[in-house]
Amino acid sequence: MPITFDGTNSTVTGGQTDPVPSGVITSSTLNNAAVTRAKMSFVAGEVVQMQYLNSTTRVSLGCSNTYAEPSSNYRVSITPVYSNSLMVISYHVPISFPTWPAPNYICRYHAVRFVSGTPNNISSCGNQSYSGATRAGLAGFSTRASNGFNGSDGSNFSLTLIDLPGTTSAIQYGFQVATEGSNNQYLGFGYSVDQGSGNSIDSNIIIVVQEIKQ
Amino acid sequence: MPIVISGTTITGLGSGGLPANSVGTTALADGAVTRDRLGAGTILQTTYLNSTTRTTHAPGNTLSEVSSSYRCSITPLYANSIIKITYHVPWNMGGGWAANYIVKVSAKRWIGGAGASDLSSVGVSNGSRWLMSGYADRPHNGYDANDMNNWSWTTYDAPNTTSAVQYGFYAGTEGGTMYYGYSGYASGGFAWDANIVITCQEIKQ
Repeated sequence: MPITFDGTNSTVTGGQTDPVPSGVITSSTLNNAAVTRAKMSFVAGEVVQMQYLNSTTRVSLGCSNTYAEPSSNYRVSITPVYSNSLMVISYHVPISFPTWPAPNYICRYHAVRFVSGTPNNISSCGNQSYSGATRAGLAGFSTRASNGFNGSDGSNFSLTLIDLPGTTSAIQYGFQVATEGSNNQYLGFGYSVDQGSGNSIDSNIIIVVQEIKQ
Repeated sequence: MPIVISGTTITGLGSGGLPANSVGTTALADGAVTRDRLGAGTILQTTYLNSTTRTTHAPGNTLSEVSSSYRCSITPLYANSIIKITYHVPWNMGGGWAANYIVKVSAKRWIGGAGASDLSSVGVSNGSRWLMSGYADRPHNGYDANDMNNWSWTTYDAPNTTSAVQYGFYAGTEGGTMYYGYSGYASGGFAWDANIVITCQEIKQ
């Protein structure tokens, strides 16, 4: 028996049981065959989204032994789709030591999560009171200038960390730095403060964050 | 004009209709985008280790595992996948080191109950050089037991299995004791404590 679709009176006649239920094929489900996030059914371990920062901001910061942020331009923003997602954050932060007063001064780098502009420790931060001692909890690392450093030298904070922010609100990932001594020890971010010696550098600050479904 | 389907013929269609077989049960199956439909280069899964284990290691001038707690597990969905691995391993020399001591680190994999094996990204045979998926370092200016050094690198592997795989690392020194995840000194204003973080991502081929 033929099946007849009659658009003039919106009827279908002659069919057997409809193999495609009413409402299954709509303009939304067929929308150019696009796979939108709303159509995706993520399973644990899959990447939900990725955001990045490729900053051309260049600043020099007078550091002390108190943590400070070089620039709020060094933050990557992400709004998690799921509140229990894992964030994998990768940093590439080229620096220079233009006015280091002693070759053995320590420079410390600490990754943080900003919520409404306030810095918070991320989940991979160490324990402030490990073994009851006064070790500072860090999500990052510390370093010293290399042999023979000067204002042209480039160094680099490069690392990958994780966080479980527990929110679907917008958050930002950035970093803070601190140095040995209470005076202004200048660090150059993204460039060597000295130039013209043939070894000066200029390099972008890059931060990448991936949201991973749990 | 009505559309009439009769036997193997359809009449009454205008232009712009769906081609034959374009809407099949596979294409419509719950609207799901399954892994088998994803293209090469897609990240299939991510696993991680965020270890609070703190330990010391004095291996001498040979490479050995610091702790089996420093392994990140992943079970590949496809045997031909590649695995991207990132390491963040903060450590300290604990004092008592010569300024020119060399330290080395190399990524390793474990499959099942077998021993450690090299990754696909390990170096090639080149004289008497160490074959590594990692690198080497020395103490920095004025180092002491507050200093942090940091193994931070990205490498890859093609494990060729769908069994559970663990990624960790071996380390070695020319002498002395290494502190992992914390500084040997517990005070002095620059002592520190930091987690060991390893991530693994499976990439479809």
